[in-house]
Formats: sequence, structure tokens, C-alpha cells
Amino acid sequence: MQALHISKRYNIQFGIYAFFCVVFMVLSIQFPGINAAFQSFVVSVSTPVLEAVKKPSEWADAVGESVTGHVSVYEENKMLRDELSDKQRLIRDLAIVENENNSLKKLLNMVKEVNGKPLASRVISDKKSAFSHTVITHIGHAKGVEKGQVVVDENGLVGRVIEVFDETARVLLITDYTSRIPVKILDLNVRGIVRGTNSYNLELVFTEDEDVKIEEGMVVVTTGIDGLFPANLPVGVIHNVGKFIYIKPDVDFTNLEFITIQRQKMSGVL
Amino acid sequence: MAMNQANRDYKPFLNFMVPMVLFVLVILGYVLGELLDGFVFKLWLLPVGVFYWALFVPTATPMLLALILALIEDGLSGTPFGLHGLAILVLHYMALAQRQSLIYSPFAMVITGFSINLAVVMSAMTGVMWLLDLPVNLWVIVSWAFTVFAFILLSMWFNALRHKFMKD
Repeated sequence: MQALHISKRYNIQFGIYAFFCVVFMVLSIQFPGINAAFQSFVVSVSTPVLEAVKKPSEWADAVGESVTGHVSVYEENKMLRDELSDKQRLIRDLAIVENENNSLKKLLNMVKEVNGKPLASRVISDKKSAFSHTVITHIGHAKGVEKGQVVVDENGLVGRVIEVFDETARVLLITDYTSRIPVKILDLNVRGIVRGTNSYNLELVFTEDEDVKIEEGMVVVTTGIDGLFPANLPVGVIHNVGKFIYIKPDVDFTNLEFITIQRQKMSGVL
Repeated sequence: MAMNQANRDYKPFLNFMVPMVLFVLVILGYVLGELLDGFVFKLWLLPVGVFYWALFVPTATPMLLALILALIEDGLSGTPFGLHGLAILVLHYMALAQRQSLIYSPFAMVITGFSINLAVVMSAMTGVMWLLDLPVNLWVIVSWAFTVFAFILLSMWFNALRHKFMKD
């Protein structure tokens, strides 16, 4: 194909170098230690040069990343603002939920915090009229029921025992007109007095701070300061704020079938 | 005789510059190999420079220089000591042997000559590696194609350098 024009000197030179290459190759395969030592030498000698050569590419990478970062910073800032806004909204929601959760926890704890051994009783007589709101239970003194003991159901405060007989007891409901319960508005942590109205509503008749802004939906619980009712028993929810403030009881007094009497010792209380 | 005549057309600085360029190609090939880590092919730059400069300015590209650079490449690439050395030696020898035919040919012929010689050398290397039970890269054809492409690109730069250092 192509004529070879090469001197004899180059042929000899090529032959010698090629021979040495073959010898090197055989030696490096037969004695891997020699090959490793040679490679180590070459790499260690070349390292400064290699690092110097790599510098521009590293700088280019850094500059590229910096430029890309600056270009995307506007979008990133916008995205972060949106994200921050979402997070702030979530934090507000969380505060609301947390508050609600705390309230609910307190409500749940109320039943547990009631002292005394609870005893469930069926309501055998439900005497509710325009003049009084009381019920009769089917357990009485024989089962350890005493005057003044607290009566609850699964929803909250029902009332207290006002008369005890051997096998029965009379419970004055909190809806009775003569009932007065020290309470606090959970959301405001303001104390007051709730009285019965002989209807299925309660009335908030007194608050220690008249300037507070009471709103519908606020939760009302017992304070426990009277020594009769345990603290934080759920009473009801404010549902009408006007000239009078009415509370809708948590307990469904229209269908009161089973109640629980907390049989704590009442000596020294009443 | 013709070789010496051709070399007299260039400034002596080229004798210093060509080894530097070849050394840069070795380092660049190694760095690119690291950057292309994960790719199946390898860009082999040293044969590009050795073939070109041995062809056009042989006095600036002695056989011993090509051998030393190839041995450095052996050390960097981890292949048996002498494998790249022998391959580059063969390529250098071929460049010198075909110089009279290629040097005054169109550039397409130079590229074709390089392609054929490189194919022979790379095939031989692959065969030797297979015989020595070393890992053989079956994508050697892709590596060959990329190296030929690199020859086309680098030759433009080498041409510019060469003409810059030609005597008036």
C-alpha cells in the first residue's frame, strides 16, 4: 500500500525498545510487585501535575455551580416564600389543633381525675319539670353512695347526690334551677358561676373578669375550687352570647339512662 | 534525507514544544478518563499526538520520548508495564514508515492512515490483553472511533501550531 522509507538506525532502535517493552511486560506480569512499585512511582510523581491540571476543571465546576445557583436563586426564593407561607399557615392550624387537643385532653382527663370508686347506675326515675331537675338512681347507701357525691356520665358532669336512701339516691342535675357550679371558660381561663335554668340550657351568671370577650363555642369546665366537684369536668359549650350567656350541656339530659356515681368520702366536704 | 529536509523547515522551539504537548496529552487523557469514569469507552490521546508529530516533525518526536510517555501512561492506567509502550512504539514506527506517502497527501488520507494504524495497534493490544487474561474492553471499537474523532479535532490545533513555528 505505502512504501516504507525508514532508516536502518530507526529499525534497530525500534527493535531494542520493543524488546525492552516485551521484557518489561513479562516482568510486570511475573512479578506484580515490580509493576505496582513502578505505578506507585509514576502516580506519585505525576500527582502534582494532575492536580494542577484538574484545578481549572474544578474551578469551572465551582463557577458553573455558582452561576447556576445565582440564576436559580430567584425561583428558589419565590419557592421558599411560598413554602414559608404554607408553613406559617400550618403553624397557625397546628396552634388551633394543639389548643383543641389540649382542651380535649383535659376533657378526657376530667372523668379520670374524679376521685372515688365509680359505680354505674341506671336512672330509674327521671323527674324533670319546670320546677326541678332531679333523677333517682337504683343504688343507694347500701352500695356506698353518700350525699354530695359527684355524678357523671361518659360526656361530663351530670349533677350531685342530694338525698340517699338504702337502695336509691336522688341526684340534683346541673340543669336544676338551684344548682350552682363554679366553672371556668377553658379558652380564656376565666372563672365564673353556672346555674341551672330548669331547661336543657345552663346560664353563665358571673365571670371574675367582665371585660373578657366570650364567644360561642368556648368550652366550660369545672374549676374544682369548691371542693365538691373535681376540676376540669366538662360542663358544656357556650352557644348563645347576648344579654344572657347560655351554655349547652355536654350531657344529653333528654335521654339520661345510665350515670356513674363517684363514691368518694364526703366527710369534711359537706 | 527527506526527513531531515522537512525538519529544517521548523524553528528549534518546536523540539521543546512537541514533548510538552505530548505530555499534556497524556495528562489530559488521564484526567478525561477520570471525568468519563463510568463510560465504557476510553479516549486515548497519546497516539493522536505521537502519530501526528512523528509524521510531520519527526525530529521533535523521538522514539524514546514516545516510549517514555507511553510507559508513564502504563503507570497511570495500571496496565502491565510496557503494553502501552509497545503499542505507541509500533504506531510511531508506522508513522515514520508511512511518512513519505502521507506527508504530502490530502488530510483525509492522513486521517485514514491514522485510523488504520490505530485499528491495528488497538486490536493487537486487545489481543495481548486477552492472551494475558487481563480484562478486555469489548467497546474498543467505540474507543477507536472517539480517538479518530479526537485526531481530527486535535490535528486542526496541531496544524495551527506547526504553521506558527514554520520558518519564514
